[in-house]
Amino acid sequence: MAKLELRGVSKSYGKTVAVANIDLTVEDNEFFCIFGPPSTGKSTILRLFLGLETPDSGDVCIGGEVVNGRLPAERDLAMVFQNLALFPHMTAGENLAFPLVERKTPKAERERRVNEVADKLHIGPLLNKIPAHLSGGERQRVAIGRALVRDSNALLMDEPISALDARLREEMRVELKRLQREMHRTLVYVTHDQEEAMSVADRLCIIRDGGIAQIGTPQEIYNTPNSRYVAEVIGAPPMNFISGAIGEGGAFSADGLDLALTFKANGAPGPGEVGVRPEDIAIEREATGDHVVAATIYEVEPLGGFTVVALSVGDSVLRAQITGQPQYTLGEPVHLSLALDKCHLFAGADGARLATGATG
Amino acid sequence: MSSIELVNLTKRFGDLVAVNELNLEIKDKEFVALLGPSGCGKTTTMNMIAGIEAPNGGEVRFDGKNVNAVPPRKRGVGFVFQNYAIFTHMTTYKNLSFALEIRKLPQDEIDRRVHEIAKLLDLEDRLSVPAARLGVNEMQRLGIGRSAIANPQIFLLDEPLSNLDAAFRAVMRTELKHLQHQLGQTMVYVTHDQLEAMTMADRIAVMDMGVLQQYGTPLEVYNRPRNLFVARFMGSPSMNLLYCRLTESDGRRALDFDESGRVELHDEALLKQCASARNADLYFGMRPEDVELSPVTDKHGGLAMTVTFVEHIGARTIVHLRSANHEVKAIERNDFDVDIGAPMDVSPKPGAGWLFDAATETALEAG
Amino acid sequence: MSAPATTAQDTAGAVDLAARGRKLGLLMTLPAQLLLVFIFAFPALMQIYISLTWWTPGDGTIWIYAYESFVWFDNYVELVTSERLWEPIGRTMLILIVVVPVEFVIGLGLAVLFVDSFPGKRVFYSILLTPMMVVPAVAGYMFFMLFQSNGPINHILSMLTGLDINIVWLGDTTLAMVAVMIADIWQWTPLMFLILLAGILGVPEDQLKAATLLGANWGQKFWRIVLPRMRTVIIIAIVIRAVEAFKLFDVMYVMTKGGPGVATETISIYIYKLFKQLEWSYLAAVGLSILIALSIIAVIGMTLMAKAKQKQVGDVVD
Repeated sequence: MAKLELRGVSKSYGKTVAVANIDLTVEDNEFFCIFGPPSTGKSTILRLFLGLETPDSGDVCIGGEVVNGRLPAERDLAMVFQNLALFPHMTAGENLAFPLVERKTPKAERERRVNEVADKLHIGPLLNKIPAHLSGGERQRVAIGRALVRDSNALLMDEPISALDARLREEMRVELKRLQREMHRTLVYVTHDQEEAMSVADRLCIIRDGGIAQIGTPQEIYNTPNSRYVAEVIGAPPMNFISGAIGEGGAFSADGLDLALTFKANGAPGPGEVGVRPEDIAIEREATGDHVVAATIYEVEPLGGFTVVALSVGDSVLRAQITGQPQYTLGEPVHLSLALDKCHLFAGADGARLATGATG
Repeated sequence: MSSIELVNLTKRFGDLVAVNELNLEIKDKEFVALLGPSGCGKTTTMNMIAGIEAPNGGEVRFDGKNVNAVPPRKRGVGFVFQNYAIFTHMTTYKNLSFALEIRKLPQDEIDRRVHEIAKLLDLEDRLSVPAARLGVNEMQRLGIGRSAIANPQIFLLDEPLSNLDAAFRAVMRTELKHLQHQLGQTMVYVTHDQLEAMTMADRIAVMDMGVLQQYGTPLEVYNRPRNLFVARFMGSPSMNLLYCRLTESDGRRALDFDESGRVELHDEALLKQCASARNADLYFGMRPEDVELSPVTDKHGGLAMTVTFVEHIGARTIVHLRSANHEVKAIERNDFDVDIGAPMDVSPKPGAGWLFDAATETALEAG
Repeated sequence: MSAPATTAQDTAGAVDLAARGRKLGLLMTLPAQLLLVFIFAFPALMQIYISLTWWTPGDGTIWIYAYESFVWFDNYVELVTSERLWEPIGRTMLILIVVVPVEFVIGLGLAVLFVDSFPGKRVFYSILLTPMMVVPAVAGYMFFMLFQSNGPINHILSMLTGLDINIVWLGDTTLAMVAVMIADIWQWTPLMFLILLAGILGVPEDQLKAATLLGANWGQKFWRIVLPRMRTVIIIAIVIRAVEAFKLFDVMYVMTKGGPGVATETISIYIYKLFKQLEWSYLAAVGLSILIALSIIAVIGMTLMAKAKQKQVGDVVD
């Protein structure tokens, strides 16, 4: 297993900049997740590691060595593509064995490893079937198995489970995490599903427009996002933003709402936003306490275990996440209270987070 | 008035029965979701409502009238395809005006209505843009607008949100629901995403293999699933289903989970269900959010299990536990943390739990 | 941070992975490219050279010495001013103008029929394509026989009308043209049909379904959705056919030899006659000019196509 690094790497396709001056380190045996919306450069990063692309500038390093000039086959990485790319004319077992056959591994060793991986992925009984006779989930596991069967430097996976239905995705992500731990592999995993990213990653890297917005553990990124962008893109339902103005001494007053909060911030006065997650908003029928905002019920979305209530507050719509199945009528006037210690203050052109935790 | 009734609706493709004697009634102005895994027959059912597919048996009725013989273009039904199928060789304006031009409405009337609906869907400044150049989110709104402009009484949507990115999907869910209230149409919505069905529908029709499994409001289907399939399909993570045996001693009923433990039943609803049990082999269902985890003490009221995995996914934490023959997932708060391998006492919260007959896989009557 | 050990080879190779591929590609196609150059460029240059002279093999010298009778652009001047050239061009254009639209309409009609399945479709399909596979010269002879004054066509006409039809098709200046046109239509409609069918099938089915549900009937769908999306294909079909028409030779020559008189003498037949009359340098000039003219047509066609493609930016791809 080895450490993977990108040092100052940039890559453009014609006029489009895919990746701009990125510094990235994936530690040995780490489950490293790259998250971002489509077309932001995530797949490009994988391709740079693999060697399918050469960087315009900067170095790609594996295990400390610069590998820019090496062909993909020489880098000893295993990849699972989004469309799986299983060999349709071979059985599952032959697919799994393929990387070992390529490297002329002796037959006994080959069989041992194939059986070991098949066992771990519970696809033993499927080894004689061809991909066309397997279900989506089974094919996925064969593709992953094929990547695992060699002792490669690292595993790269490009949205490997995005094509499965929700139930299977939930199961597979737990499986993948378990596998990575048991087999001690370095895994670089690309996804655009934020719940998946949060669940599997040891460290999470948020990509925005070809650059890194933030790298950290999922908890760090969730609880202390360094910018409005990161705050918005992780967490579902997404964080609510209330725009307003920041005054002296970190005082925030909202536009069009009767809400004033004080943060420990030293920013220059100017426009800013307060971000608060749906689970940190409580709905009360009576206006008890301070820092309570008047609102009306816009829509109620019962999700069983919890309910997302969309409320219109002034001109905007905020979403609150309430546990259980409370009943509300549309248009009903209520009051919102925010968990002050969980409010974030964002400001500036890049929406940087200035402070977390407000007082009255 | 635009209610829809499906009477013994059947559709076969060769040997495969895609839709099997489906009976469903959708009230005027109701928002109904057809929910199920791929291949369950939901899209075929919707195609039959639209008239794109002809049923092999049974009837489709609009307001009580059989419309089997009415060709699709005369049914007056709005349809939004999964990949929108907007006319890419036309501008946004022309896409919107298409339905009205077909009906040969006067030009100024067309113009007025196009602008009206463009405003409603926030597409006004994109009217002269070639439709192929729109972003995915705009295309989706155009797909809706193109059908909505003809004011159909019935609106059919085939997984319209599946191509959108997650953030926008959440926004569109609220907006679509709101739109439906405003326009007052009967809406039928096909999806495999139970979250979408729950948030948007007035009633959900859960289907599997061409057969209707349950039809009720989101909370009905969620809280009181009629069978194991519905129980597993709704909710994320899905309902925990634990195999157990009903026992009685000293007049007290309990559920025996073998080595994992025994849970005494005091809950009225559960006891009522037990009364209608025909044999002792049952499944005990409890939703992950209804699982109470507590440290193991001498007096355990629940099951003894060990933590195998912990997922921190932002607002919640999912704890995976297992014992010799059972697996459970529990939902806890954001800041909950526990070590892998830790023993825990697992029991249902008061008032939670739902019993199923293990052989028939259906829920026990609650009396 | 310690600097990792890098070899000169590694960093040097950094930009070369793609370049390596390109170089190899070039090398592999070199033999074919050389062959093309030899087969195409060499005769073309030869042709240009000769067209600037007044050489014929009848002179007794080999062509290399044609420079002895350089007349520069006299040949070109002559071909532009001479009536003798414009007549065949006119006749070819006349055929074109009649034949291409007819083939287009029939081809389109057939293509529309073939969109949905019907019993015997496959058989009908093969039958429909056979005319294209007949060797043109053979087709020419076939029609020669058909259009004889005591041939099957007159016979059938007599049966249908009850009169005694005895038209001398190939002997009448107008009727010979008609006969030749019919032969061409017979042979090349299948090609139009194929191209247009591909175009129709390329229209996304989803959009047609959407149009149906919006209330469009068959005709409205055809005009508003199918045809507009076929712009590129239609242009291709017409350009191909137009350029081909200029090359019409086999069928005509076998049927009429350009006759009666010069009534059906197309440009290719004219060129052939020049060849037989050993007016080779003039011929070279004519040939070259036709090539230039056709290239211009092709370029116009491609520009139109590019413009049509722009209008139709593409379909939703998920």
